[in-house]
Amino acid sequence: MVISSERNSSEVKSNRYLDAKKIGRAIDMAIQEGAQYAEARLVALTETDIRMKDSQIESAVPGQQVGLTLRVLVDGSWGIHSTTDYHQIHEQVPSTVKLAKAVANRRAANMKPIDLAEVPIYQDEVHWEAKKDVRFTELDEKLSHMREFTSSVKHDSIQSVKCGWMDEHIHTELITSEGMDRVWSFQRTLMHATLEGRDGDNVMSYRTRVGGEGGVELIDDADLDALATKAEKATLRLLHASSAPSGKMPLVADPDLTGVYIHEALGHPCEADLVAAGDSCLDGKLGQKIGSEIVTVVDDPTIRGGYGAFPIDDEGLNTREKLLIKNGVLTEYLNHRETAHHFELEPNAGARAQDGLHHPMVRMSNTIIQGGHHKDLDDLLEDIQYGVYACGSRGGQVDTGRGSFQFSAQESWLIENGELTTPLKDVSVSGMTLEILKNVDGLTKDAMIASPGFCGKGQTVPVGDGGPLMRIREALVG
Amino acid sequence: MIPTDALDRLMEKADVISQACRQSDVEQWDIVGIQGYNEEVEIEAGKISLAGGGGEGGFGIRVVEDGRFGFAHVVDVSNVNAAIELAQKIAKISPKIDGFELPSLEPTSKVGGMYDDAIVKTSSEELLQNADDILSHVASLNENAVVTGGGIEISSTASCLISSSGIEESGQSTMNSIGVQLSIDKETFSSSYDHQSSRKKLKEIPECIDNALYWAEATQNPLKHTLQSEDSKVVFTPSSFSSLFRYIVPNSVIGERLARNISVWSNKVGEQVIDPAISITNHGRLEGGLASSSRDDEGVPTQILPLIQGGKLANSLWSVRDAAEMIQDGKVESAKSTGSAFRSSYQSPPSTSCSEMIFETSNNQHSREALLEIIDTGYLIQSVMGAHTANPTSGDFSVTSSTILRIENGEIVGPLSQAGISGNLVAALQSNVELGNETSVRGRYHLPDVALQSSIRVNPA
Repeated sequence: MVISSERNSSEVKSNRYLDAKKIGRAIDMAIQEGAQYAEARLVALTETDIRMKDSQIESAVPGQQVGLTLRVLVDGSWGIHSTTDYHQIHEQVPSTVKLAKAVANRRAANMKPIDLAEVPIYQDEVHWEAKKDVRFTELDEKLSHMREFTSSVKHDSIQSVKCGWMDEHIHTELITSEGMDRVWSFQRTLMHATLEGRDGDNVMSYRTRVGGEGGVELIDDADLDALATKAEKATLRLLHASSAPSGKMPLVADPDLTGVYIHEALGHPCEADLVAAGDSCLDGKLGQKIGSEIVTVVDDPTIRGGYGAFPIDDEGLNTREKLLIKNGVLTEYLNHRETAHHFELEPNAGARAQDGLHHPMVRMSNTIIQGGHHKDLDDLLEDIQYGVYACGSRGGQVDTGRGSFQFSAQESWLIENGELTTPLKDVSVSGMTLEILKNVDGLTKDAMIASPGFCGKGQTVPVGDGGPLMRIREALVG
Repeated sequence: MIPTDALDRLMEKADVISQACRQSDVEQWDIVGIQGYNEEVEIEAGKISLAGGGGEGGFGIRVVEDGRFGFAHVVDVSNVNAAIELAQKIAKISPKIDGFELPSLEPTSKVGGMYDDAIVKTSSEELLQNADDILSHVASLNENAVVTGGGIEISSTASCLISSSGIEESGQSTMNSIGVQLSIDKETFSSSYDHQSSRKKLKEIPECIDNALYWAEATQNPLKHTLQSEDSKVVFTPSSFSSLFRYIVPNSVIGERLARNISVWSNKVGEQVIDPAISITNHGRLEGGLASSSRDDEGVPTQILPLIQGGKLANSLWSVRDAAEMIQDGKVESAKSTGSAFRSSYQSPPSTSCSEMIFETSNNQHSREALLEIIDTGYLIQSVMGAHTANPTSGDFSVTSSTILRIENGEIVGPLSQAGISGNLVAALQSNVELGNETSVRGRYHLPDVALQSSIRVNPA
């Protein structure tokens, strides 16, 4: 069934890289050779990567990369070929089908063949246009933003300010044997900086990021002076901060860290490919209560401006919000067509690939804990005799099978008798997903997407995480 | 099958680009070309989940004019003139660095062991069979163990570097990687990951498979009794130690970072910075090294460079541009390239990085059992989560491990379900560092078991 999309956000039609007829013939060839499904997905990235050190350009690299992945499903097994030489992809069809057949022939009798959940078929173009297109903004203007940030950092103890800029226009074309023929595009812009401070033998670094899905307007609209001043103050504070206490104690996290927490502790174990592989602590827990009543979590690629936003997933499905946890109950896994079929679930457009040279996997987008009922930070701190308030993220990691996770804060404070007291450095928090979700006992009202981030799972994709201020009754702080 | 004529094809295109550079008015230029091919088999949920392969390549063009540099990259050589113009345009707005010129041709010799014909000749069927053999091997050793993720990859990369100063280097390298994530869901759930990479074809069942299984088995049934959070002696295996080491130590020996006062070892050249028994060598020419080469990525011959000798900071890593910049800025009186310029791909200009790093001791080396006896009471740690959150400037880290064993009276008494591990790696390396007698290659790092006896706190869950 072909459904004409009504979602076009733009009348603009893009210049296509793929010759639809030629690709159609290649896909027909794959079907004739025995494939039950075949697709060609091309991604053209038009990007700029700039590095600046103390207001001096280190490098500025504008460029374009184009990659195409041919994916064929034959007798319930995948064969894949990825190449930058996309004009010649038809030559790779027979060998890719043969490879998939070879995998299928080795499948044990008790192993279920792969199949795909049915989805609506679209033939259309969807373009999320940026207010200020990264492709048509002069390099000088991008450099000027970076210099503005750098010049706002003035303290003598700051030895170095490294500032980076990454923007990209992402253009994707997908043609499948089911008749899908979609073209979509959107942009991402990110400015990031690392401040390095020294006082005697004491050296510390602090990083900050601003940006998201969209064009240069995201940086135009940011208060770079305030961002730089905040980073400068944090770096100076860290130079004299105390080491973190260790042990189990109450923890309050800012939206940045709340986002990383929910990404690592819940988001990854919710990815259906890990569940199917037997590598998730949430296997078999759909419909079960796994968190406290106040915890509701969504993953939503349609939140424009979030770094993990995109209009269409890499299997051609329209994106939508996924309600992962509602009031503590696990309601939905993130899935792609393969895992939706495996678990007999509705596909929810969770397929993402790093670029045109990688195949789609189940990935998060913008993952957020929704707001609760606490008024503000003071409201959360009030009952805490001794604990930690942790802010900003250095990143995190999860062992999805064991359900154990770790994330680290950029800077923190000791909480004593409901007040923030001593600044702390190098606070990390670890725990078990199925325990700590039950320990969330306070959330402020307003949830927000926090700083842009990246998620690695063999492939790296941009993500947006966030939430409100969050209190965990007992967390393992190290 | 990976094509055997990849290098010829690459050089044909590189010649077109070098002609265009010569015909342009660019003062100095260099071209790096890379064309890689790979084949892979992925394993998921105890079975082969997909097989694939492909090719990726392109060219980076760097121009230097009056001490300023610009860079652009192309895939399609018909766009080369536009790329050169773009690089020139960027050079014009880049800062001038007095004395920055592309390196001239200096003699060097090839580094061996970078290419294994056996990898190139491996068929897809053989790769699939190898994956099946791994699955069968694990099942034969433990019927409850499942390979939940991982796979096998072979690749071959043709690369070249051509410059206006007469450098013309080309070659082909190969790589074989195998990694497995194993889990055991019996009385309790446990899992472990390990992997190996080599320029040569790996054994069908490399050691990493048995090692992953050992740690999945060893961390079943965690200790029930409560252990206190305390400063502890620990033995890191090469796997866990490399995770922390790679984020902290190489950064601390970059010449430019030392000169700019943002390395923990700034102003300490010639001083004792770690245990007097420990030495760290940057080996750019190690046969078969994953980061070895005869020349670095701007054409300077690589070398064997002692970075830490007897615990003293002896040398640091430099690229041509960093050296010129730091001299111009008055941060150092003199500096020259140590052949340490690396590019992450053809899409990036070179930056300074380490080659193969070898971590050694002049003291006696010990078996793992002997190291456990030395620490007497503490922990043996196989892997850590969150090493990337370590502070590369200060050496502070705070990570988590679920593959950690409690040691009492020099013997393993059982696993912990989880523990936080925090401290400062630079401080922990300053004294009483004892090393194991078996070196393991973890990417570009050559490390044995490492016993650290101070500045580490373990916080059991």
